[in-house]
Amino acid sequence: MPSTPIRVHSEFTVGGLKVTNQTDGIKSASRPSATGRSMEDLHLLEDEELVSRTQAGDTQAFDVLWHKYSPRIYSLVYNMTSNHEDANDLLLEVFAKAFRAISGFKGKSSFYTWIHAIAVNMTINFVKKRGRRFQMSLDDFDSNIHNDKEFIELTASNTPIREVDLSELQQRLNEAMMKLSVEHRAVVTMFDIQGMPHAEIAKVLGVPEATVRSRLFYAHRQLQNYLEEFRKQ
Amino acid sequence: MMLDEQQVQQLLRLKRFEQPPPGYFEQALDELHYQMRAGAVSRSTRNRSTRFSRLQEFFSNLNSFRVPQAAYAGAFAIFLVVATLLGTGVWSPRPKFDVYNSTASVSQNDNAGIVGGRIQLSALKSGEQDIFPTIKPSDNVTPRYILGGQPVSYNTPSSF
Repeated sequence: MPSTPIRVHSEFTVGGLKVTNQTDGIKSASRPSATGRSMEDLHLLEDEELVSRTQAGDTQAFDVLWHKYSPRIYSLVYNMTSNHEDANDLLLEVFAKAFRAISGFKGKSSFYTWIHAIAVNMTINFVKKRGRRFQMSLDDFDSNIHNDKEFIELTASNTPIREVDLSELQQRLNEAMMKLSVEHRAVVTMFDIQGMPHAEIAKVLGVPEATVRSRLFYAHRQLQNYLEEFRKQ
Repeated sequence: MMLDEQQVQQLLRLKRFEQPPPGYFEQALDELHYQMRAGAVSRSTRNRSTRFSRLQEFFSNLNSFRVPQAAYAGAFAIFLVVATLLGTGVWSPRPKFDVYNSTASVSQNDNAGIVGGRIQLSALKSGEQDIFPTIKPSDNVTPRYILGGQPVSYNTPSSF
């Protein structure tokens, strides 16, 4: 006997957008969007098209934007907070805010820059409110780290960095990061961890490129001091 | 010897490997959908409850409204002034009415204001003042109204 798919239909309004959400038990990857396109098709679209579809009320286009950018935004927020739960809450808040505000997104910058700017500002505000009362809650290292060329180089016997176990390395790195001001941490996260160019960071932060470079220089100097104990004894 | 800048950067790049558990982003997306729906509902509920609470506040303010003592004195003073003005005839709410002039005016008007036995309001004018016309038996109409508190019907009274 063929099973009847359960169809859930909901309609709500967020940020001035009328949103129709339909779940019909079919995997999201092959579910047609409100405009008749499948998710695979949507994944092929440029950000501008996905944004305009989201502005027209297609939530699946926004889901594609989520799939594209949530790992990067999570990484940004996580490395600025050193706390998985806070990063999770902020990630959801950032995307919820982006969805509410997307009707006003004019495309003067890329969606990528825009959502990074939202994330950085929200995280800076959060960290300043949180103050010093926090506990680190760290994600595990991906097992692929053992195959990483840089990791192998760093832990090789001829480097000045003494061999440490991974959890100690992680702890020390995060402690050193948390000693930086949140503005410096944001720059270090975007440049050193995420590999963003100076110009892009400057756009996200709304500051001149020279400011980004000077913040990076200062942050690296501080981190050199904080990570001194990694020197081979 | 301190770590050089390149080594610091290499160490920092290792943080790329700190990753949330597998399947995290799918679960987080579901949570985002849930929160957005709940947020939309709670926002509309909040708006409704805000309007309701404002209304409640308005009525509770009405209940708790206390008339200032000075207002009583002020109202009494206004009453006295109005009563004095009315009593001395300095000011009257109704315009003065010249009975003689107004009567003449309507009678010269060939019953212009009386159409089909009804009195038109446009006829109730004399100069710049509103008046009530005086209708005589020779006007050949049968008014059936009581105007100004005086009967104006000229039908033969059915009295015995």
